[in-house]
Amino acid sequence: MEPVLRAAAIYLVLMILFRAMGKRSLAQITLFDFVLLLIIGEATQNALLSDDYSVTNGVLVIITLLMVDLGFSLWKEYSPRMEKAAEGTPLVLVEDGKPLDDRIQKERVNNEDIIEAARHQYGLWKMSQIRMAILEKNGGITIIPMELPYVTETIRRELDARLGRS
Amino acid sequence: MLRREMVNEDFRAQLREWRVQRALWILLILILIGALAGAFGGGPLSRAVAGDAAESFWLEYERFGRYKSTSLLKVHAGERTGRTIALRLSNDYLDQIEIERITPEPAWTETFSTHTAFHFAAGAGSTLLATIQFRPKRIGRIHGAAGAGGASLPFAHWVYP
Repeated sequence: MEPVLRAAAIYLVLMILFRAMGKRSLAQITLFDFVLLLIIGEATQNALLSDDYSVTNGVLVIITLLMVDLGFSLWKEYSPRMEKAAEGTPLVLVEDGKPLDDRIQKERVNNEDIIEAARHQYGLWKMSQIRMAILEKNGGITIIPMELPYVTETIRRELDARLGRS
Repeated sequence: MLRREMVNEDFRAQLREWRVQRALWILLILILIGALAGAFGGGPLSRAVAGDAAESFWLEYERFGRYKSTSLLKVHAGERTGRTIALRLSNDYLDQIEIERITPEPAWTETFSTHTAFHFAAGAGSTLLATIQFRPKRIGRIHGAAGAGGASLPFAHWVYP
């Protein structure tokens, strides 16, 4: 009984604690986040296995974790409310080139993170080039740029062809 | 025009989430403060005394413990019988703990139906400070009783999982 209860309890506690830390803590972007996750892994190990190093205990813990994870997946599928509670929702951080400062501050993101994502994804370098920046559930930032040059170019060519222009 | 709902934003849910997060942070900080103060063992909140330090027989123990985590029970006793000082611990208590070490080592132990007596060699005029290092085997409240000479003192630990 103990391995199952232990594993289920640790899984639930970790889930709640990481949700309490906010979306960015999942994204593992800085050295601090990486070290933190590494050490948490170590701290969890002893709590999961205690002083029982038998194969049976290990397997029971693994099975419990997988089953709890599966249980939550199924629950999320049937209950959108549960999914929002468990995973959160995307959050718009920049709209039409303007950063929404209170939201950015509340999620402990900074403008530099957003510009970095824009640079990484589209080679953009300033806020005014960003149509929308979204903080996703997994902590990543996705950028919708103001203008996709290749899209406008394609449209222009298509229009020219249909209107008979060269 | 690109609107926020088009990217599945639900701001009301987000506001709820932030409120819950803040509440959890406060709870976590309280837990940390409590832990530092000894609410989970090992600190001022946890240290307890049974009996009177001015008397010859009294105990020092931890009010809070953690499952399978080492804790100490210190017994001060002075009443000699012959060349030994005997410490009695209830069998109910001993069933719920796993003794790792007793310092000093008892010369011999004697088992009775309700308790076990540990006899320590003691020179004339000496008093005993026995330190029992143990790990709780159970979660929840563990009652114990310790006795020496004519006196007996109850005590209890609350053991966290």
